[in-house]
Amino acid sequence: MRAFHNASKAALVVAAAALVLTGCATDAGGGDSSERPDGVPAAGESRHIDEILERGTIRVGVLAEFPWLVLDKEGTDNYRGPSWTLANHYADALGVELEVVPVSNDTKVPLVQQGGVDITIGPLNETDERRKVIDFVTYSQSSACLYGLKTNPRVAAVETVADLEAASEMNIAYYVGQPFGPWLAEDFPNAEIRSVQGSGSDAPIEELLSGRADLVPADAAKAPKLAGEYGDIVSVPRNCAESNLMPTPVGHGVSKDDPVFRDFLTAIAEEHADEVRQVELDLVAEFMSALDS
Amino acid sequence: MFDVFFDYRGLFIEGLLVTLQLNAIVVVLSVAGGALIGVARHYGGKIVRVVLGIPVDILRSIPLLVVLIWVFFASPMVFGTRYIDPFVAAVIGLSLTQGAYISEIVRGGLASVRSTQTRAGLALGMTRTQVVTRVVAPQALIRMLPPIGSQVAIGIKDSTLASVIAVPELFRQSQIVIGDSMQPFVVLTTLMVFYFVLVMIVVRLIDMLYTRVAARGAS
Repeated sequence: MRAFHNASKAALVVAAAALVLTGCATDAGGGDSSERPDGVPAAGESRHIDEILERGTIRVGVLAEFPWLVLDKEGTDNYRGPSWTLANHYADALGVELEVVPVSNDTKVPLVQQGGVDITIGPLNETDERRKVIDFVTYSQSSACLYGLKTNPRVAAVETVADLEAASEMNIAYYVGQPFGPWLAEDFPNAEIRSVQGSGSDAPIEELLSGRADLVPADAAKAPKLAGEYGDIVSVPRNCAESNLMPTPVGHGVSKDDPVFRDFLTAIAEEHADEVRQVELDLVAEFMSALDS
Repeated sequence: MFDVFFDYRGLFIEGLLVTLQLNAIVVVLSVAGGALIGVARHYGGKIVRVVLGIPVDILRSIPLLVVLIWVFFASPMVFGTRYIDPFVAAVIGLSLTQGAYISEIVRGGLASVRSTQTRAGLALGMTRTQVVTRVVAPQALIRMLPPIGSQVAIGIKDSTLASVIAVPELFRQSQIVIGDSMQPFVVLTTLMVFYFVLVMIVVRLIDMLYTRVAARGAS
């Protein structure tokens, strides 16, 4: 019996020693800058890159939004879209895995500042206000369209932006937190502009359907989705694909305190710009063909 | 019209499971914590009552949304980390707030048992612990059931606020579905049915339990 106890103790000691040695070996490996993939800034140049390599994952904040980052309907963590494609290129370049961190509209920017995520890959419109607190890696561009119900006579009478500028008594609603407020007030001074609380949608469709608003702004890229869900919706201008209203760069959010990290990601985005653009176009085309069928 | 529910059933089911998990943990922690504080405030004397009353009053005074956001953003700084899992932050925030309310329910329940019963028990030779465990607590527990049931129902509905810190619970998943499907009315109507069924099951179970034991709580 005593021999059995001694053998057990010995086995425990050996196991503990193995664990400690394994841990030490891992630590040593993680801190060895010689194992960095090619093109990655040297140790000490970027706090984020050093932490990502040590961790073995790049923490990305995700918030699905068509057509940049689309979540699989089954509810798994399967994303696709240009933002996801680019995020995978970041991970490949660093030789690490993506670690998905869900974020909300309220946390997607603060978490980048706080360091809770390395990058927010939920698409972010690059507004002046946001530029004050975080940096961006630009990979796409959005423009706006205004959507209304064709059954609304005031909307039916407005086909172009010039018509809208001349129109009076038009009620336009946008979600609190969306970047449309200053642009709407400046470009459409005759309209009544209201900010309303968000329901989770990308545009306050409920304001249109309930008759409280004549028009609501949203990204031009949302046109096919809205047309698919609501047959009565029309846009101003009528062809959203050609809209140049409020052109805004779309990017990934990164911390302001690490320009080396931002420049490293920007170089990857520039390298894969054509592929990323094509993924976005393919996704929109796929959705349009699904609508047609 | 309700195709959207079928199309996005995976997201809805995920959200429902997280909501159930979140509320189950919060109920256990808040009832346990609230009971401890409530009992301590009732039997602990003036100093304990005042000292423990401070966090209870603070938590009852601050909106839950503020507590959740504070826990999510401030506690990593307090504990020297950069990130706290949203689910953990929600458990902490909801449990603290729920616990504060439940502690008051427990304190009120204990106080509702007439002091003459305690004196009678002591006069019959029972120890103070025996009086509490065999006379006061059984009656008080029964009287606490309806308000605790209401508080649990409020807690389930309040757990939707965890969506603000991106906990993938039912309301948050519904927001994702709304964003993707552009059908807020259908999704929100589905959500109302989900919460109605969930809360009614919990409330009715507690009511049934109370109905069976109510007579024993009367004095």
